[in-house]
Amino acid sequence: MTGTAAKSASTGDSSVDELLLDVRGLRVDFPEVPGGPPIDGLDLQVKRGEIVALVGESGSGKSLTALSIMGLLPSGAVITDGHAFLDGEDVAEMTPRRLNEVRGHKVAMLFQQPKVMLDPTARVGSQVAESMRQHLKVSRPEARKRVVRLLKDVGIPEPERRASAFAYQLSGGMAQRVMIAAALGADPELLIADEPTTALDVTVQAQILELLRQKRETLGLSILIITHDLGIVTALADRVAVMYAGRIVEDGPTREIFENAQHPYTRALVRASLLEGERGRLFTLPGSITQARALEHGCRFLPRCAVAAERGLTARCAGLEPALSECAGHDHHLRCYAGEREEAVS
Amino acid sequence: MSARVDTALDHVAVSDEMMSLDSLVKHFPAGGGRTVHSVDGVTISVRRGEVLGLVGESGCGKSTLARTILRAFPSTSGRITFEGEDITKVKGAKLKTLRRTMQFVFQDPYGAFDPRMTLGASLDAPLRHNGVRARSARDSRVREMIEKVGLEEEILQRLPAQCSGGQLQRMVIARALLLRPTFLICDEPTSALDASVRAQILNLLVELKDELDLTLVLISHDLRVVRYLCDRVAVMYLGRIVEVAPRDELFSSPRHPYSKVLLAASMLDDGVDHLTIAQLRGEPPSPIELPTGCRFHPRCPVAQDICTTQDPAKSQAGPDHTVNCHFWQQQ
Repeated sequence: MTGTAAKSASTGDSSVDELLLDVRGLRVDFPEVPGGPPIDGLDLQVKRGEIVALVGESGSGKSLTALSIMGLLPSGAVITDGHAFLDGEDVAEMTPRRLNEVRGHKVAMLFQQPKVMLDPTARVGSQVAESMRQHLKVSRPEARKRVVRLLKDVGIPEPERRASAFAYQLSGGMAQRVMIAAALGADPELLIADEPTTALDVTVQAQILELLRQKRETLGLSILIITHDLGIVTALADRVAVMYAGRIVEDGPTREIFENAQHPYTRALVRASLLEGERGRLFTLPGSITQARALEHGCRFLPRCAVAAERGLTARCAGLEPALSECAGHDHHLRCYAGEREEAVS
Repeated sequence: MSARVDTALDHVAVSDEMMSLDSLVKHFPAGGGRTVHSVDGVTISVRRGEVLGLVGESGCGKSTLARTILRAFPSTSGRITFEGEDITKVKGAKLKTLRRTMQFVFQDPYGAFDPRMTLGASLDAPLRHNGVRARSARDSRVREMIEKVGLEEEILQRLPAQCSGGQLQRMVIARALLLRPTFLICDEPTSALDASVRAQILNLLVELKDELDLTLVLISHDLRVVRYLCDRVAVMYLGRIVEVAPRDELFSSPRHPYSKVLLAASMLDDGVDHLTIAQLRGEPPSPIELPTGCRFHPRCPVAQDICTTQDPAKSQAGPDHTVNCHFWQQQ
């Protein structure tokens, strides 16, 4: 695999622009469930060594996106269109055997509730060792050594003693560190972190984010972080992709998105998360994301959008859904008629 | 623990004070003869009409403090005064009356209601148990409150599972206010919610506070919410209050090293001060085996020898600003 070479070269310049994750027009549907598909025409890219944040309200399809990339769709869900390429390989076409090789080794996942994901009755060391034992075929004593090194690496004090502890004996912050160690056990190239710090204290959150950043520096790890906390995004991500009702409505470099957001939804998210304003007069976004499901065509954000009416665009927005296209800044994409610039029209 | 610093001021401040805690302690047995020092000598007062923020990491005793105040369980020692009356050991009918005036908004709206009961039935219960006999009186009270929190009556027919988090949190607030309390403790009221819904709930709390003359204690580890909503902020660490200051003063010039770290860690989007965060080592130690001296010293970036042996007393860092740190002046 080309991935292995690139991995050892970590952030070698030649591979910087290579797409590790490339999701194209992905549509995931629950055929049995009424309402539109929860993921509909998703485009999302993560380059080697890059940290991309996927943001949006609950219900926008963020977590389902992660599961699609992992080949872990819940029962009843099917990919009806598009592809998710992992290092050039379509996840949907992987055999179960190939998926098992890929999971943990090429892409690993970090979940929101570390204490739920760990087996309380198994020792920490064996859980961290699991994926390296499977993928790297290391011996038990060798695995033990690596586990201790990994635990030390993620900032766990007394790693030898902790390796023999049971998961229920860990605090939330320690458990998430253990999960990171387990996820990194088989040297994955991409880490998908789904709200990895939501259940943790702010102080521990800051430490975990610092740890993720450090792993990117030292291992050239690519990270797709899923969150609804924009504070985390500014602190960690190189690029941001804003998701609404199953598709990306805007993406671009983090700074660009925060300082020059074009989509009314992105702007609303940024404003709502600032918590600034006179007491009792915080900006809020009217309506809810469930309104988008009922729409068959047109921009899914239209029912909550104030800009469309202001600019007299309502009819156009209700007609054909705008495409995700290059806008003003470098590497900045937008799915909105209101933010359209002349050069982007054609 | 120092004696009450503000004893001399008591006679002037009494009408201003809605509730005061004096060296309040709540310990739990931890087995093997050990003790969990959840709340370990808290002295603070809540002023009428204010929003007091209570911040700190999980395990610092914030929620236990709230539950002790609300008399969910008896305190180990110390005194709770509410409206000039010692309520530390109040029982029976008096406690029931007291619980009407003091209410609680829970952290997790998804778990706050019986999943098999309609929301209407869940809201009816507290009224029924508190002597509102006539069905029509209860119904009109519920409807009035539903409207106040910005929901439609139709929601009363639904089960919790049929509602969004934002709707449920509004219902939690409606239920807490049904008995017309004057004192409300909100424990992380927005931490389970999206940013856009969070803003709606915060707006609602402010509106209701003004309309119903509420005094509010807001427990949170999200300092952005605290900065937005609170008049004063108390920082708690391992069972103790380590700093209390007016909101702007705490955010512009925190004195306790722990407050500084907490601020830096939660204000991620205001330019992260990685250095300050990196200075905070590890996690809070266990409230079972408390460190000697200042409880924060094992994690403190500026700790010196004295901190390992002597618990710092309360210092006055401003007219309305107290801090428990040996070196608060040097930072």
